[in-house]
Amino acid sequence: MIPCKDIQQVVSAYLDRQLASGDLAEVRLHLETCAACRAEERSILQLKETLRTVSMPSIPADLIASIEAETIFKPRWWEAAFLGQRLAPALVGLALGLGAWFYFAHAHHAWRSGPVNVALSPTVSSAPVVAMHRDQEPDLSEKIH
Amino acid sequence: MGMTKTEEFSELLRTYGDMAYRMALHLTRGREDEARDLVQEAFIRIWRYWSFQKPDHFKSWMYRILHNLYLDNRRRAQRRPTVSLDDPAPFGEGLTWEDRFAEPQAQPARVVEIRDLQAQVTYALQRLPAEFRIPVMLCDMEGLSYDDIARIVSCPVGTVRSRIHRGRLQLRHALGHLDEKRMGAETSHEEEHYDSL
Repeated sequence: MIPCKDIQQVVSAYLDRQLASGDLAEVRLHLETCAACRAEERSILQLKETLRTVSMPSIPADLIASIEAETIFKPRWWEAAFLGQRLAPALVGLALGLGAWFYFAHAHHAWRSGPVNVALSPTVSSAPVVAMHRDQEPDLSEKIH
Repeated sequence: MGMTKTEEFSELLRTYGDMAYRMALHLTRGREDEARDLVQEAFIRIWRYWSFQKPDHFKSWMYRILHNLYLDNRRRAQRRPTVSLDDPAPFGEGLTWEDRFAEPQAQPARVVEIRDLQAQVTYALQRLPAEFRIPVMLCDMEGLSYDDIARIVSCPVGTVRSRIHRGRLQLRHALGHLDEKRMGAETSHEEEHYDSL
């Protein structure tokens, strides 16, 4: 017959149905004839049942929200990098485009708007200023003499 | 049509969130702030790995992540400077660090009176060392098999069996002052269980 101390070492596993079928049968047989081991089995069973009925709190709703904010609602690193990579050249292109537009628009406006009057300092040149339109050829014949 | 990763994760969070939170509370001896951090850290890790690894048994995998994170945090905490045993400990109810390390049979006089059975059981469970507390909790409160528990705590099944038994004995000793009648009232179906084995 198996000693009681050996039976009591495995009574937890017996109650958890974690013994091999052969061992299970031996323990059951012993318990049928041993009041002390039956009392031990009853005591462990009471404890198991008490633990099973202990209620525990549910996960707080704000914790779920916090987890979602850090996971499914947070852009992943490659998404953030990709977004940055797409935006940066777009912004640079936009800036260049605006700059070019302003430059050429100003230049075109100046070209179409009329003669260019350039006021020179008397010390720079004594030659008279020839005012003319852009589509005119300068008539320098009078000036050469 | 299959679910997206976001939908899958959302469903997992809602299905297993309660279990994760309970496990975290048991790991941290009921300290809610630490339990919250542990659960959040675990699910962030699960989210990161979800594209590469979809285990067959999500629940065991989740418990294992929680358990490993708890151990990592505990190792980091042990490297911190020591504290006086008389200092108040971060688990409330006027208990000090000395109380934490007291043997179950040497109940300190300053333990606050706890009224109902469930609170007493929870308190006694939280005072068990982690190597006993976690297997007992996973077996008796979450209904896991010894094999699953062995995978979660990374121990042989024989070690799990021994720890569950020793944990229950310690718990029973700590609860020994309870009225036997109150404990017996919880198990009116003891005969049914015996017959079913």
